[in-house]
Amino acid sequence: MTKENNNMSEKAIDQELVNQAQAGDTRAFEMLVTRYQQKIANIISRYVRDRDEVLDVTQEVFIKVYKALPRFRGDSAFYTWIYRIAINTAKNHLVARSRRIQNSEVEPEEAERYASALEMQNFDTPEAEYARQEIETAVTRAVDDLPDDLRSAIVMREVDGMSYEEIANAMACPIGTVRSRIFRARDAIDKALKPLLADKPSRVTYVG
Amino acid sequence: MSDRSHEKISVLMDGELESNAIRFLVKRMVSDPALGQTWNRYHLIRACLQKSLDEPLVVNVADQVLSRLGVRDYHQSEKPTRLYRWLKPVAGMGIAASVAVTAVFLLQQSPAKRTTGGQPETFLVQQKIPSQSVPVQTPPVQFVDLPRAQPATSVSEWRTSGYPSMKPPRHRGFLFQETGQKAPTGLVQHAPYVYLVTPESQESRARSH
Repeated sequence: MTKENNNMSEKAIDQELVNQAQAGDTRAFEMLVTRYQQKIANIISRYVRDRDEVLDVTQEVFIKVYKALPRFRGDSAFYTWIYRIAINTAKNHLVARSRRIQNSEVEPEEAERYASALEMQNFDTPEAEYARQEIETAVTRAVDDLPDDLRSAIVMREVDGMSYEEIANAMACPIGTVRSRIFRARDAIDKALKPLLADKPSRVTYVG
Repeated sequence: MSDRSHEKISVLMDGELESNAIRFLVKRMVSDPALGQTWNRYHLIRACLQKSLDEPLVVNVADQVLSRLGVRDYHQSEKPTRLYRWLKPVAGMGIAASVAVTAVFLLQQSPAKRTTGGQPETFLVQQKIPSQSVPVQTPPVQFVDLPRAQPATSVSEWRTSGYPSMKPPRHRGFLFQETGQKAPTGLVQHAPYVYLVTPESQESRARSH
């Protein structure tokens, strides 16, 4: 599948999930959130430095998305649409925060101290921080343990963003083999990850 | 759930699935929580591999968003399985039947304690008055005669003992009047069973003698 076809397919997935979410299916909305939460958090973290605030703003973005979803007509790609919402929400958050600081009439020296304190602050509970580290460590270890062909395939796909066709050319193998290698890699990592997630309460959010 | 389904999810999230299969698989994932969780975990793996060190790893935002929005928790409102779909009406009927049996049993028990004579016992069944009915002229009560092994006294004998101070004709007239006025309004009315616990009137006693 070419890059163009790949993009078409991505749009088709989004459109299908959006249709179902607009019809009131909460699971479809959850799958949309899962699909884009990390990308949105990455965008917000360019504007907001505090990790806890990143999580809050990310949640705020998806709350706005949920409320505005009935009005989304698909004129632009879904990702383009939520990207704009994310940027605006992050900017508004910064403006609101600076207003809060201005209104509190803090002396410049105090404001500086406050800003640096915010940067240093880490609101993660030790449990959440530990869980995050556990997940990241488990994934890294599972990737390291993969056979070479599976590791190369998953890294080319997830880290380098290459299409199946490009990976097939690079690895000199059929596309079907690439598809199978990527799946087997994911499946192996998933098996390492599953026991960790089974122990955790469903509402725990890990922020690193 | 087969590996084939997982492989399809893997291909789907890479944007490499044929367009005609996308719709079908998305619908399956939305309706099957296990497939949905696989989708979530594969995205978590992606997040771990794609994020840089200074970017936060974010998981389960959807749960918190839906919670903040006050949207129902889908984990607790799973779609009913086929078993539950037919079990629900059957369970309803079962409960209704057990309530009816209990009511009949209780009705049987209470007069039985007081029976002393040898006549067959009379039981009462409350009857719903139809909402469209006109003022009732006759008491809408059915008498069901059930033969019993032990001899019993007449109904009027034990019932009057519990209500010694009642004035039957006045009460009866009042209750029938009330029932007749309310029935056409559509309110559910029950037969004034008080009528049945009154002692025999002098007229009827004279007639029977």
